[in-house]
Amino acid sequence: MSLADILGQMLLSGKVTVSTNNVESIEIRAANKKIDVNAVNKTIVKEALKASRTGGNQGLLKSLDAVRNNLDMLRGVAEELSDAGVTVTLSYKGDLVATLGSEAKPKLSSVVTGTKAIEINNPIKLIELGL
Amino acid sequence: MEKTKPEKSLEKAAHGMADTMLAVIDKLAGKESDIKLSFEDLTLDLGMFKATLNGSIVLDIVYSKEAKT
Repeated sequence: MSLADILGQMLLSGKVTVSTNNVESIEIRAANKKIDVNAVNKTIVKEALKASRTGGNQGLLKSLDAVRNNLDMLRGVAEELSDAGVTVTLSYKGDLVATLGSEAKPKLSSVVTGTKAIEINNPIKLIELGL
Repeated sequence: MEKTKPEKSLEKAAHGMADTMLAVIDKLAGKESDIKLSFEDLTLDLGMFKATLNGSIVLDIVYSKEAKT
């Protein structure tokens, strides 16, 4: 059973809010095999993303390598979600930024991502979030 | 006992999440910060039974002092 299967089968419905110092950062809502991850405060999201990338200041080649590895991982997760019939949407302050999984309908972005399981809905907001 | 491929991928994902969480906690350490997870009608199907979670978990981070430069 993959992580996507677990998300689709275990997480039935409801809401989880992540706050730091009483400031809401991320809201996660689940219903009917759809999970929306809404970033409310971009600072903590950027910190988390920065922290998840290994090392501090790296050379350009190592940074590009890290981006490629992250994209590979994201592609794998999105394809697993798609196979499991699960959709994960990423939003920033309620505006849809990207869709991963079964309901993703990419146009040109599949050329960049190399998969039909990732749809970039708002590239400007995506860059703003530092993804 | 040999782990199956899904078990390995789940373990890898859990490790990744834990590493990210640790790194965020590390960033917040010494700032007397807290991370609060609030659950609102979160319904989970755990196979043998269903569970609904309401409430919150607060992680208080006060374990180190920030170095002065």
